[in-house]
Amino acid sequence: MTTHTFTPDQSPGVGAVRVTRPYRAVFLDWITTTDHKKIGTMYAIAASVFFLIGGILAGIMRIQLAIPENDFVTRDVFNQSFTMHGTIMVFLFLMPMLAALGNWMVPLQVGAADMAYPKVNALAFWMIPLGGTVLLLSYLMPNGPHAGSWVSYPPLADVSESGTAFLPGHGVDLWIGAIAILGISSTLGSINFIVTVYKMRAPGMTMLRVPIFTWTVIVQSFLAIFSLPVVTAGLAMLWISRNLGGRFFDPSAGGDPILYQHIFWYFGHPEVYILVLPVMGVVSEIIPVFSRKPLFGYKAFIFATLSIAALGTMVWAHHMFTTGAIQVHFFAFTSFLISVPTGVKMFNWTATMYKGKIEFTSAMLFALGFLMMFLIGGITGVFNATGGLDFSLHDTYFVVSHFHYVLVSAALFGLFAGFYYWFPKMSGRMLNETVGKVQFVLLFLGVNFTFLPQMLVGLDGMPRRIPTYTEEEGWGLGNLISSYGYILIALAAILFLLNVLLSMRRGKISGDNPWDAYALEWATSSPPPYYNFDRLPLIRSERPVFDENHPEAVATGDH
Amino acid sequence: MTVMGTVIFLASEVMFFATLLGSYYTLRAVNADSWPPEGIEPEWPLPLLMTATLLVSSVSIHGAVWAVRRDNRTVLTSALAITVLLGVMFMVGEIFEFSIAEFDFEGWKDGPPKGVAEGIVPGAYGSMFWTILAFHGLHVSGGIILNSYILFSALNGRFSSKNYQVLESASYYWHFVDVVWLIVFVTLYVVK
Ligand SMILES: [Cu+2]
Repeated sequence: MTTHTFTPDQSPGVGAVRVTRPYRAVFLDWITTTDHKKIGTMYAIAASVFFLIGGILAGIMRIQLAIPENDFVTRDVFNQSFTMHGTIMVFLFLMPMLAALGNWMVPLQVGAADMAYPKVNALAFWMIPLGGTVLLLSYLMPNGPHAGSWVSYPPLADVSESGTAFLPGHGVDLWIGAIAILGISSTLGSINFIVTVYKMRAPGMTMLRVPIFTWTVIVQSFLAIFSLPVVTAGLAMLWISRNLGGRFFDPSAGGDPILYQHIFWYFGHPEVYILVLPVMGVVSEIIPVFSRKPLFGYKAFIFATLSIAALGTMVWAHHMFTTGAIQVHFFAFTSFLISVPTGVKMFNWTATMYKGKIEFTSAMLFALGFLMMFLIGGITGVFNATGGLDFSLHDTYFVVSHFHYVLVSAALFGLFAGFYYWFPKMSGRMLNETVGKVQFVLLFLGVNFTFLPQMLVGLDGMPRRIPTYTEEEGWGLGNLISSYGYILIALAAILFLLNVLLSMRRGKISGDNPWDAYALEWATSSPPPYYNFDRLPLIRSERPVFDENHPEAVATGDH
Repeated sequence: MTVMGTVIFLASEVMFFATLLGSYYTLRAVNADSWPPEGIEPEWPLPLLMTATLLVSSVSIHGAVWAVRRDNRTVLTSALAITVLLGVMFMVGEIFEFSIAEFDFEGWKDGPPKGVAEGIVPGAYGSMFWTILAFHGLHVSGGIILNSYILFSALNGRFSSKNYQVLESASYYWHFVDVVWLIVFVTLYVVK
């Protein structure tokens, strides 16, 4: 076990803020840093702030919908709320939060001292608050923010034949600017991840010994690089339409509104995998550690990840079945195909747990929560991908429920799992396990209370994006339960925040490898020194730390 | 390492232009009988000259890389200077192309520009045409700034046969801009 003395100049992690340097120096140090660990922490802080904002917007919607014919907010505010909620949660919470874990863990997992381009890394981070500010500025503009949903379909987000905007003001324009900034940020981050892994792996770390989480970040990065520029180009065209008189999407001038939908979903579907793949990586780190078995089918898992990414670029039009302008059979078929590699992963995880000595730590509980929620999300996805069924499910709350089961499971269960697992490495202290378990129960109940009723009212025909509904439609009870569920999710999030803030100062000292885990990040001290590694273990398998700590198991081949 | 990052970055740029060009061909198929709209005939002589300019500049920046590998400073700086100059000449041509355009960007200020409703300039065709040209032009302008910076560094003796990653990356970017132009030229002026 390596010990590391904690000096201010090397202060790396979350717990480091308590050094006794003047605040100004600490502040300057953080805003000028190019250390991947500090940048990772800043990503996490920024993402948490935006999670709070996105969460409040969700709360506004849940209050408005809790009872029939409610007038808590106006129609406009409701429209703005769901538009901004979606945008913020996808681009300013989930993507930066995944970048936080990626920044922290990818260099550590491959045994590098930092990212390949530390300055580009800092630039990519600072574009997040910039993009967020541009987006939120629209609240100060006349007519307020974008109110046309995060998909921003023309004609609604475009201008009419006579040049008047259906959504007046600059809400949509600022939104386009923000997405462009955040897209470029993510592209730069992705380039950095790929080059870091390709060029900076420790000696002995072949590609087939790279930890699964890092693998998923790499595949995610490729998806980002090939899909984000597409939506940037599409949104540039939308901006030119709104501001310079371009006519790309207006049929009366030879344009085509379906073209926009193709462009948007060519990005939009891979985006789902951009959000979910790294979370699958997190879960694949945690399940083997707490089952005390290696991941079942390491190579199959990597292959499944690559297959999901490849197939994921061929399914986008399943979001457009009801336009009648696409090949429903083709896209339904390719969408079904994705359930094969996803099923392989489910099998990887369950087979890993089979006959394992399972330890129900908070991290493990959240990982199992992810599996269950993701299964529901996946199965409801098959319904949506079925051409015929989709015609009745499209744009109902069934769809809302489906993608929240996918994304909330990823966003909350997967990320909480990751933070309970890696917080000791980041800060040198453990998060409180009891709080973690209470939080897990709250979240599990909260998510199902919120989204299961939505599935049912959706099957009953409740459309998405409506600001209210009448008593006679009979959706009142489902919506009320859903709104109560929101409170549970909010409580779980608040508990987590308190847990982090208190554990940062008072948590149990963790030591280098509290979980007896096996990937390379556990070989260094907690928190790691500025330069990450004093020494590296011999890397002869995908579990170098296990090999070093358990020579007896390696000798008997029992690993 | 800089080179690898640049190549991946260029992959994302390929997707950006592929989207614009893909949109062009989609709208062309949608408006098969009025593409380009009646009375519009993009003139190719100037763009052909611009193509030649850019092609030669690709050769010259390759010359700069060739020279730095052999530590030949005179050839290096003059090849870079020629590259910058040719880039500027290309942009002069493109600005001229824009200046003779009938497409009025400010058209919306006093009602819709003439012909919008009939689907002619600046309808879908004009929008695609100028958007593609403009984004390519922006990339060329960025390249000129980058190449000028490289030239400046070279004059300060920054590159040698052991250290020319930045120069090589810039050359990849410039070749990319050149190849995109070839596709843009063929699309807008030959295939139409
Ligand atoms: Cu999809």
